Amino acid sequence: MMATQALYKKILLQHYRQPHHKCEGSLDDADVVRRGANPRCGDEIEVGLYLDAQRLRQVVFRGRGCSICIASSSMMTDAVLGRSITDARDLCAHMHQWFQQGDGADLAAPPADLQALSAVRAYPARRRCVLLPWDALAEALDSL
Amino acid sequence: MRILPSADAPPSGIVSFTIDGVHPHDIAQIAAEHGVAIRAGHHCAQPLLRKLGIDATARASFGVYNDCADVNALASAVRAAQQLFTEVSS
Repeated sequence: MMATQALYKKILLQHYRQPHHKCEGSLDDADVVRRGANPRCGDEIEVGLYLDAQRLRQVVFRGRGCSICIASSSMMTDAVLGRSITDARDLCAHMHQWFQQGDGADLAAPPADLQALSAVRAYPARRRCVLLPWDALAEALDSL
Repeated sequence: MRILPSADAPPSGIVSFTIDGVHPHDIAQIAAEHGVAIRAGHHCAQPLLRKLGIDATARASFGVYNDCADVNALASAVRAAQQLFTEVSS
């Protein structure tokens, strides 16, 4: 199943099994929390931001989702940790465009640590899975 | 693997199931690559799934046009999904 191997890259599956910055408890102490949900499949991701001045001191998520959704959430927290709010907003917009334009678009690739998600661009039905945490993050950043 | 209709339920061509450690979306993705179209998610039955304590299920629907080859293809897809996600967790 070559297509399966292309989509489910090892690094992506590792993030699914052992997600980074996944929180099982409360996010009540976060500076801002926003929730993304996909009512069609029941996936729900909450993203919590902890700020230090205008930087993301800590970014955590909690919730449930498919392997693509959880891996995307995990990789997202790695990618935006320590960034300024402005940089994080820019990365959210970039990721959104990168997936909305689909495979073959000539938009510059995102940072290397997110490129394992690139295979998802060939699967339009899974774009909502990969973008769910990014949409929650964008909403959280926009609320600041 | 858990098949949701209980053993004493009336026979049906609609079979909802879950696989430990594999999200139904991922089951459906792998099934599609085996040539089998199944549904995954809530199936517009959120209150029931909440009552059952299940986030989502995969659901195969069999009709008069399906044959043993189709069933075997689905079984292969289930095994492939189990194998893919078990390998990573080990």
